[in-house]
Amino acid sequence: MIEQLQEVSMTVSQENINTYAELTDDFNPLHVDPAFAAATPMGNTIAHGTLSLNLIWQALARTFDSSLLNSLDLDIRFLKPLYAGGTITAGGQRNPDDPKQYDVWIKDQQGSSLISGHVRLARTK
Amino acid sequence: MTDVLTYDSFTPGTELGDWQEPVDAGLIATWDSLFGASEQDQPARQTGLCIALMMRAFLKVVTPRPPGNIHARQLMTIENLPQAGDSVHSKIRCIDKQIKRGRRYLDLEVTGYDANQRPLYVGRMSLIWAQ
Repeated sequence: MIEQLQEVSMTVSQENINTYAELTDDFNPLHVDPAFAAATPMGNTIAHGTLSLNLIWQALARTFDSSLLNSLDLDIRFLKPLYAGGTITAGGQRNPDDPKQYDVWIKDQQGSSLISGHVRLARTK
Repeated sequence: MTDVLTYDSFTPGTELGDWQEPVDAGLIATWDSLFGASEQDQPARQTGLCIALMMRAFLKVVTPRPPGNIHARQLMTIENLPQAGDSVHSKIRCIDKQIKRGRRYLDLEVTGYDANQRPLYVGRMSLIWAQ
């Protein structure tokens, strides 16, 4: 039984955010327009929440047999924004009450949770 | 010009529209340029592309949107992963709306199928709608 997911980290630049905007077609100025974002309560551009989510997929893919990602349930909350230039780490730990479920998270360099939730792998052995 | 979709525009239980597009080489190359192209990460890429396709369908169909919406929560069920070249058909509907602590919460569901009607994903987004 695997207890912890292999952690995956990334420093997310404004260029990365712009590329993710192309991938999702999401050009919300809060993500891609520093001047617009500076005038909002955020104060600076932030990454799309689903950009960070890809690191959880990578953590799962690097931990388990590849076929396990064919069938899963994810439930996560976006707790705090990731500002351009920030470094994040994805990881997770098996839920002691459910062997198929992993509590997953994205944390920043200070250890604050930006994303938190769980993934249930339907075919975990 | 079409009026911006406000919170009052949405009715739970109604279909909002659908969108179809392939998992093409451009999307795959873009994902790889961000997250790498290692063999080990290929399942992560396919899962990540499900989310990207969900967002693309939402943004194509639910438009024009007010600026400043916030993505608060995401549920995603993966039933099968799309392969390169697959055409993915996504349907979007509003499943719930409510005002909590003065914020306008909107729950939208995007369901994706391949060309053979094989289910791929069901994504549920909770959004805090700006207007």
